[in-house]
Amino acid sequence: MSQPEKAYSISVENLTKKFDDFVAVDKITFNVKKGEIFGFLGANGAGKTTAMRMLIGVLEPTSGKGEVAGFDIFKNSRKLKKHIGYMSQKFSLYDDLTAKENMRFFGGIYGLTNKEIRNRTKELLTHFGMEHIEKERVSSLPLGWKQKLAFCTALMHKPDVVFLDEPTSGVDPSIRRQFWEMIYETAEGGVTVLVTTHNMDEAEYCHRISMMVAGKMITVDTPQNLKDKYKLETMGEVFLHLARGYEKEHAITAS
Amino acid sequence: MKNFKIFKGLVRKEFLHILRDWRSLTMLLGIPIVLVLLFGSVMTMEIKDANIAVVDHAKDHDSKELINLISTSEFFKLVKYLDTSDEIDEEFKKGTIRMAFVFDKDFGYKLHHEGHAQIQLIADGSKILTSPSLISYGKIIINKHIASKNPPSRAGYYIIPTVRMMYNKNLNGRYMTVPGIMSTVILLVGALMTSLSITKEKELGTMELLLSTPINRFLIMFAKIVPYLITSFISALSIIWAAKYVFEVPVSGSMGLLLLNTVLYILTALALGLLISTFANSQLTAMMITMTLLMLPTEVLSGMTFPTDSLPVVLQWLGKLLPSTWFNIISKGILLQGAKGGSLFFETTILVVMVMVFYFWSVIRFKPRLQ
Repeated sequence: MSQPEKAYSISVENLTKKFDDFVAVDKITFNVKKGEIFGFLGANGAGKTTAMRMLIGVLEPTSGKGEVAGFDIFKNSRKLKKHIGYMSQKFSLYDDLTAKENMRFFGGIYGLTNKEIRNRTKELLTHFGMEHIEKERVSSLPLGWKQKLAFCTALMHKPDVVFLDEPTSGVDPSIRRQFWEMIYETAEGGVTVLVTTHNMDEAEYCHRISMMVAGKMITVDTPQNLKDKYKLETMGEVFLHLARGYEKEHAITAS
Repeated sequence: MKNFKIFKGLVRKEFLHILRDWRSLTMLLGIPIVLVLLFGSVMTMEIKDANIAVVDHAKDHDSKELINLISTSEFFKLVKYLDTSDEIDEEFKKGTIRMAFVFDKDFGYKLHHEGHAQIQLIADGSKILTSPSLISYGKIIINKHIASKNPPSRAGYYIIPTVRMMYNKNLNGRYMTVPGIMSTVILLVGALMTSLSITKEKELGTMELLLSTPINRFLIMFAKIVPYLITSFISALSIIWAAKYVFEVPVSGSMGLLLLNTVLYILTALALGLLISTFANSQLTAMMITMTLLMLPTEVLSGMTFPTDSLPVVLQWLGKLLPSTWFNIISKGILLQGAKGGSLFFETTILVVMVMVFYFWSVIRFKPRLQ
């Protein structure tokens, strides 16, 4: 890609989003290296999706600083969008189009040539073992396959960073495993992956995770370090420990 | 060039949506023509042997001659002689007659000595679709009769038929309805199509995905217009065909001019739909706005069913904000009066301005970012 080599694919400082009086994302700060799988962990409503929407340039941040793939999220959101892929929380490909037609459409939007679209579609579908669904209408696919297809579509234009918003919610465990294999393969190819989840098992798969509670980022570290630090077995326990601790502390300061 | 390719991709996608959704395809192509056929056939009932009554106060040679002429014509059938005009009301209410002729007391005398005499033609104004035709048939017979009596060289006597509509004083002409229905249907279906297609993407979440791509918002909006312009035009052609061949609405002016203005009007409807979609986040809201904003106002305020000059000034001005008001003037002008492009310049310009305003307003309102 043409953008200058940077130490970080994503770097965010004090990023904040307010909706009227409600602070959805409260001064979050973190950096993500190229090729890293970075997880946003948190309960529903913790601000994960809002944070992600600011990073992909569809939501205007209230204050703070942010750079994604070398582009400022305030000033350069249009250019930034060319270098990222996005998979929203709600499945959002076109149901009445086939797998191939969806990939062609989104490839076209990113300005790929017909030849590039053909090659890339074939490459992705073959690579992830999905050739047989090429001509299927999306509406007839099971949810897990839809999600895998949405992931392929987000990779059509070879983005530097992909944003996955709860990609595996509602997907059965075997497909979820396949999905994470796709994520690993993608990251190994040098693509940075930012993924949100409220599934604690999945948090173990991330290189590093950040925990969000009520719009605040309460910790950022590798899953192993966190477990060692609090001497707990699973990420689920770590999360509960931290979230409860945070809430308790807040309840005290608030009273 | 690159943008054109992206645009082509967007349009192709829209076409796939339309072709694979048989419901909206039926709505686009089927419903308009069905509506026009339905309304139109109610409107163009053939009038033959309509029952009439006569009140002959004169009972002289001239009145009898004219009554004979009227009752032997193919349009009317004389079923009753009444003694006074007061009885007419009752006959109407019983439904025995559809029209009455009332001859003045000194009909023949006045005709020969004063040069003019009066016949009153009374019809049921609540039968809005047939009564005007009955009246005009009656007038035609009377005028023919006068013409046959008057040698062209001298200005002779004449009869003044005075017309009275009972129950409904304002009437529309016979051909007003087809162009009126046409403008309502095109506007409603057009605005619904674009507004639903955008709000559908908002509901499904594909709009969020589109917004996360570097695509230009002008293109997203413009691509929504093209496919529906084509389908709406096909549907408009079928309506015009029905108007001309099924209902025999005369096309006095240029067909080319009518088609050009129809395209312009369709564009107005589609752009209005785009604008509506920027105010609505769900298909249901979009449909409610479109229906409330367009359906009733179009029928009431645009001169389709009621003459606008009898409305309060405020409503007249509101009516002027509706695209259908202007298209009604244009289509009726071309169809019925044989109007040329020049005389419709003002109305056409207004439609052009409306398209521009609706389109750019919606592009401005259509935010590239969520709020």
